[in-house]
Amino acid sequence: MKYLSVKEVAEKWNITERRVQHFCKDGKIHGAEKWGASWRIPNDAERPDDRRTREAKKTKRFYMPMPRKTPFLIMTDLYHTVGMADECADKLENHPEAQMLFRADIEYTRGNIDEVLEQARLILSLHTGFFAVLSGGMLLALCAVWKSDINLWKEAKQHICEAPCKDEKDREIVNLAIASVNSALHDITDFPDWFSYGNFDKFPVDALPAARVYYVKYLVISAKKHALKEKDFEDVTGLGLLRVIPFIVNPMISQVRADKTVVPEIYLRLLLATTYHYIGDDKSAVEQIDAALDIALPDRLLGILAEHRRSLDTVLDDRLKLRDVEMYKKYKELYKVYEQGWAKLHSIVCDKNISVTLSPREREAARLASFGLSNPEIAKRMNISLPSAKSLIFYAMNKTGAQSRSELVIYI
Amino acid sequence: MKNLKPIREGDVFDTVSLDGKTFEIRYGYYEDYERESGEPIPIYPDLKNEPVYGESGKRIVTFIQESCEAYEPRCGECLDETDCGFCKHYRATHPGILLGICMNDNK
Repeated sequence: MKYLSVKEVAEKWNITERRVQHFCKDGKIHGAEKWGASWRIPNDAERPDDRRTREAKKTKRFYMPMPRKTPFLIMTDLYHTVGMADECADKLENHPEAQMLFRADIEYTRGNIDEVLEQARLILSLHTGFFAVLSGGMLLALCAVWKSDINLWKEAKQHICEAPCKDEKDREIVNLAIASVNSALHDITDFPDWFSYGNFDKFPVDALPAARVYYVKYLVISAKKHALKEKDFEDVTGLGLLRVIPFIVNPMISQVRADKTVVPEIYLRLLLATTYHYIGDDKSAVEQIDAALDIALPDRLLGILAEHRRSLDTVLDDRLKLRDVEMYKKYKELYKVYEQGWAKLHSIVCDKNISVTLSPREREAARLASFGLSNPEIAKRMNISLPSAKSLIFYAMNKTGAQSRSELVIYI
Repeated sequence: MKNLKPIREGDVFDTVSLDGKTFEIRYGYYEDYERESGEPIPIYPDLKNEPVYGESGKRIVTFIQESCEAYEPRCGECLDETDCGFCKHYRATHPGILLGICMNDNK
């Protein structure tokens, strides 16, 4: 595609260069891109209406405000029907900014990270709206995890921090966005107290489905932190906190189903499956995985599945392989990329070398050991002999360099 | 990782020499029923019931075998452990291998 400079477009449209720059900055020229300090514009771009004239004011507005007040449009009822993600995106034709964000979200859930990266950068170059900037920044940060790119990670958080806040409520949402991004690397230190109690009053209604997902992630990671003795829950044992999580999540799942929000339901079910798997109830874990696959596979949302493979191991692999061998192969490629990216970035950011070479059984033994199970309990849970359980834990600790059983939780 | 090919029961994990004795460690299962639960792991001899002594006269033990009455935890975190590997008399000789030497003169 050929591009024109601001000066060339101004001459072509018989308007001032300043007017062209205003159109670019307001996102009114489709395809215009920021190039250093100036803009480049597709040579076939249409001149937008100049709404200062009486004639222009009579015509219909093309660009509308964001249809939902949340950084993750895909987590709202805009995506309301299983298997219809692309069709839901098509319906946003009168909201080009929202459509761009929505499509980027879909590609993220499919694991097409290069495309998401390109779209997120474009969104950030074109738009200055609060939720658009938050959305672009958060997508960049998630891409940084897949790519294990520390510079991209820092750039993404910078964008989030620079989202234009109107009031204190907006600032709270920015802080929460940073905390949410950090939770991708299992760091929950920045979540505010009001959020840790499950108080969602500060959120706009549109953001509640995403808030639920991040809250459950927060709870699961908290259980891990408790096992590590980094977070204290008085009178709660290592597995005790995990056992409470299903009581919180199941009603949330009913709520997101009633709200007709597809992606939150997938995330909540996979997080619930993770919880059941951690406490050794793989039968319930499989039920939740199957329900999540029912919703995710019609639109090929394999990126979400790849994100959860680390915590679900072969339980997720086996269920997906039974359903669709081709999608299983694609998912395997994706999770290898994600796991390596996650481990490398986690190591850089948290200054801890995370190994990804634990075998599935070593990882399972490590998880059970980190949550406080004894060797005989681990052997019984995994249906292996006591010497085997001891060996697996030894190899897990040896490979990871963990100095104690509780420290193993970092590596699972 | 020592072996990047799919691991099969009977494959050699490692051949280890310590204190004049040589051990060939192969992949396998401690119990028959474990074959259903996953991949084979390195299997070590039962040195508790069939003790082996090195040329120095010291007893060769595995990290995971049940310790004797002379057990002394090597660290604060080992207070609840009962395996030889957590005893202060245990000396590991090869990284990643569950074989070591008991330095207790009375054993």
